[in-house]
Amino acid sequence: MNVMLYSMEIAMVLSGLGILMLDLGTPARGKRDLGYLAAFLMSLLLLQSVFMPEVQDGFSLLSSGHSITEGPGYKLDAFARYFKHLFLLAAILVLLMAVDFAGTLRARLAEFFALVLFALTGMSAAASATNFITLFVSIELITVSFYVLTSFQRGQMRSLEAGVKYLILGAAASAVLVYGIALVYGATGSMEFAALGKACPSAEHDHLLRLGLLLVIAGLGFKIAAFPFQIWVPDVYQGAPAPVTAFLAVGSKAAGFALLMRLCHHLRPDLRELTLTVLAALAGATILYGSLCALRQRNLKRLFGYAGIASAGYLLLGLLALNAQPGASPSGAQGCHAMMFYLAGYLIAVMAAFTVLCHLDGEDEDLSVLAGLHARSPLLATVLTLSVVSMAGLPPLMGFLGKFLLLQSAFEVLSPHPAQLWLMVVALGGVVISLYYYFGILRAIYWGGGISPGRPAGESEAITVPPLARLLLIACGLILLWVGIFPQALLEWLGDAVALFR
Amino acid sequence: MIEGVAFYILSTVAVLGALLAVSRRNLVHGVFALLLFFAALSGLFVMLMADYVAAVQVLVYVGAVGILQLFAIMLTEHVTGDDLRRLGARGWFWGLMLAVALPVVLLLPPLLNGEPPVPPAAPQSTARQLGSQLMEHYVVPLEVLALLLTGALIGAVAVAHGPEKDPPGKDRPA
Amino acid sequence: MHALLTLILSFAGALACGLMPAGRARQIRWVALAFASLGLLTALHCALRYGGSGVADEVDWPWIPSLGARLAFGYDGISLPLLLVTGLVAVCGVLFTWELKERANEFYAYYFALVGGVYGVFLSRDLFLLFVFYEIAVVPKYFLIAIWGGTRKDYAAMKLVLYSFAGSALVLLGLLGLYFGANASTFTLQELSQASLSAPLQYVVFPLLFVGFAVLAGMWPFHTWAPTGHVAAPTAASMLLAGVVMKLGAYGCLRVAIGLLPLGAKVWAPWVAALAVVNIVYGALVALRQTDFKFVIGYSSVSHMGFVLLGLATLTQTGLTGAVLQMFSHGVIGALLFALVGAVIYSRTHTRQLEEFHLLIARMPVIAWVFILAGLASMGLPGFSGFAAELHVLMGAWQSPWVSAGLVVLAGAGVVATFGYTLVKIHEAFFRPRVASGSSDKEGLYEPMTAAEIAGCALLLGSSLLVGLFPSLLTDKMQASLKLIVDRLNEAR
Repeated sequence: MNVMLYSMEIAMVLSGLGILMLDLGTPARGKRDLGYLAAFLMSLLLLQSVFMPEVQDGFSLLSSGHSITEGPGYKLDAFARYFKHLFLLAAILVLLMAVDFAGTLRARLAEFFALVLFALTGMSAAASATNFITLFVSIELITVSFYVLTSFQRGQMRSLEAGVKYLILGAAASAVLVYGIALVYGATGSMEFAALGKACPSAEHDHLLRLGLLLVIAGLGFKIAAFPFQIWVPDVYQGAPAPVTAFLAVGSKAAGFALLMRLCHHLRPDLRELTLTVLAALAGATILYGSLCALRQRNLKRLFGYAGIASAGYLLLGLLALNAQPGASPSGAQGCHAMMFYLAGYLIAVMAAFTVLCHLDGEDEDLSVLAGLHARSPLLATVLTLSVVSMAGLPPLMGFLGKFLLLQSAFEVLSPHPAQLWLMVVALGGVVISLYYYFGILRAIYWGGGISPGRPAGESEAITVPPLARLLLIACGLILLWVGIFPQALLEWLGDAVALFR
Repeated sequence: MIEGVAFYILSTVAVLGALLAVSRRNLVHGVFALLLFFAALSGLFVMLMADYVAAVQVLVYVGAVGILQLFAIMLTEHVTGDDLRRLGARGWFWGLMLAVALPVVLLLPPLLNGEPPVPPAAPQSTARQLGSQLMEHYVVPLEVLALLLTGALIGAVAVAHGPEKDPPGKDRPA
Repeated sequence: MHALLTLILSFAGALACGLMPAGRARQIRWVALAFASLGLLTALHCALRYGGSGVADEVDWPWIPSLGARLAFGYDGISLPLLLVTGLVAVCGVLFTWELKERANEFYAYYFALVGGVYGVFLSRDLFLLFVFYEIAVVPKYFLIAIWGGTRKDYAAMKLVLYSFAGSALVLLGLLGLYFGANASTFTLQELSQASLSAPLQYVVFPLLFVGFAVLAGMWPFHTWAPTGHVAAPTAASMLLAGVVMKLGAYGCLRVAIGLLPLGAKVWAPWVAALAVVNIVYGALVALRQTDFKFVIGYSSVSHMGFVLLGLATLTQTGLTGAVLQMFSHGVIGALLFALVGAVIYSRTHTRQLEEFHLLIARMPVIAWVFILAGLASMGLPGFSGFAAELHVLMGAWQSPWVSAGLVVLAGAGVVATFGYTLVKIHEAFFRPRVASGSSDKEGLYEPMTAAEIAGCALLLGSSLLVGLFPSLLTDKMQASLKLIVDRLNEAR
């Protein structure tokens, strides 16, 4: 076995354990610095992985004479690397956000940071999973870490409620997932994803396989918050501490999609028919549900929750492309390309928005806390505007091209079946509806003075943002803008990552 | 014939135990019902020739987990559960519908199709195979599971302990 | 000066104004005026340099190769009048909001972002790029109306955004159909116009694209955003909305829908013509019933855009010439009317209700006469640009096999209705004693026009007169570019 294959995960775990060790000797005042340390270590890991990926290969060359990118149930290809980078970036931003949020968090910080790193490890493993065992244990590691993280603000009833709801529904989803895996195993006799591409011994086996596959999709649907499995989202998003919500919105969702992408990639042609129909129905329902429910939301975290449900629906459109028949004109690569680009844009936009939320005073995250933000802190207002406009999918920000690519890939897959084009209409309708609530946020920022009569706009004192957070926010805003205008660099980088699906 | 009867008895006991475990307001009663469920489950494993899993079920779940849960519950204040306030739970109807629909969807097609798939011959002893698989092929997932347990433990302690109080003049509070 | 400079100047202006401190309203408006004027000068210079055929100032850089989208810019005879009108309206918008003090830096930042988006659409030679610029304009429009607007601004702003975005959704769908139908993995207009598109595809995609763009052009029954939006918007924004943004839609209809889908255009042209005539007549009749002065102008815009759409539906050289000329003409005159009603008159009377006006002809004689001139120009009096434009459109419609004679007669009746409501409203506004009691329109003479207002009026009225007297200044430049489209229409079968 080649240990270097797992070097990133090992580094993450060691950092987490190291933080816990250091915590023993750190005075209460210095706990926040542990968060900086964790973020710093993860940044080093990210830089190493982005700029010197060959280090790992080099070590594996030393130990075994040739470069190994595959272990049992685990694959370190460009696809996995890309997702690992995304997760690392998300974790770094979440850690820094949590440091600023520590005052409100009022909880044990070191454990918090360590659990974020453990969840990160789970996501990182999920990105590489190629069999159902790795899939399940990595999903469970993520979920268990989040059970704790959501209920971290023990003093608050709402946080506890979020934790309990996530625990119960998450456990139910895991049960469904495990049951599905068992059925698939029973039908194929193998835990590998690759076995999904082979024919079953009998029709009964095939029936089991189909049922198992549906249950696996349902279990993963919980992670990505697709329509019938989304009920936990609003309450948990609202109750969890803001950094955790952000991590949940981005990391957990991206991990679920990474797994679904790998899974769909291995499917047999006749199974693709089935998943295409299922995914199309899921996507349409998810988009409609998320967009319509967000319309009446006044709580920002709930609103982002519903918006997150809708974006899961758009991402499912990309997954459709993966289920196109092999040899058909669109290769799955197109859909993956779109999903990975969209996820990157979504990550930055969500992180920026939640970082802004962390700096707002006000316990309840009602839309009215944004009142007069443009006068109180132009920086926060501008960055939140950029992130919201990007999520709404307007140019020239990253979100626009992401949504465009997703719609394009879905259109290409669906165009041979004109009956399925209703999905495009639903998706575009969802985009139009979403403008209503996204622009509602903008409205609250720039002329929301009338919303809270107690605090007219512009009269509250200015908000001071710490320098590091300021730097991060500016960076997020610039990335959204720059990559939105000149996406080619990122798209080319993605080209390697999706080579798998060509 | 005997096998069929045993299967139905064990499954009925298991389902009843599970139902009791979630429906009892008194937590101690709930745990005992859960133990009943675990025991019935291990019986089912025995019928499936999964000797190792059955043994683990008895040793770990009926033994260790059940006792731990009893300990934890005895040490908390509200055992009877009468004075707890309820978190809002709506939609029990749809939950029930789903619970009924799931087995119907899962079981109906094979039942209609007649013959269930023939199970492969059960291996003589599963412990050795499981062990070697876990230590060779699935060693990384095993490590991840270890991390999962560590994380859960740390998290449980962190949440149960609550926030650190930092009284002035003391470095580490007890 | 290179045409791209208009685009760069606008976004630079947005950045410069946005970064200036809010308190320095005086400096900000001078900076804004400087950027807007430079943009206008660039557009003028382009117009003088343009040879009369082909695409000028063409640049073509790779942008997103995987998508086939390129950074392709350039202008031809169709874009040219629209670049000019954008420059004109942008300058005058700054002149007519000279007194703005509240959050001036933000105002001009959004203002220039909108102007930049508009220039971008007119300069794009790539469909994807065009769509991006088309969408960029959404956010600034919303902010301009919702922050600085008046009557029911929240409602109007949201309505405008949802309408224009719903239109964009249709356009996007059509765009994807076009992209995959052409099967060339390209978005450049050049290559797409050479791709062979099957007839059934054209029949399906054409209405998507045309209706999608026409929402922004105020086509009935999707026009309802226009009056409410125009009325709620602050003066400079309603000038831009009426003067330029509605032209974005018409330009899209011409350049993309008609230009790329000749077969579809031929099938759908009679329907478009019918809707266009409804626009003309309906807009004029509704304008006659309005009591709010700004709503009168708002509905007159809808009526005038009907002429543009009718011109497009003729699919003939004359009719298309008329359509483009009408885009220019209405851009200039619509902007002038909105400026007069929304800024010049309102800042003095503090009301826009016609029954509250009291013999304004005696109390603001100069302004009244300027308005009367503008009204005459608007109803298409010979000598003003509107006349030449409407004449071209009606002549084109008469020749066109796709527009039935009955529709032309109805459109002619629309012209008469336009005369009617313009004269009635001029009478009600300026020559009638007060009807309503408790008016906020006080007695006595009003202060004369400021220098900025005079400059703005002179610029807009002058250009309408110039084009009215010498329409060949513009029409000569656009013939070759329109001929390309008409030839494609005639060849396609």
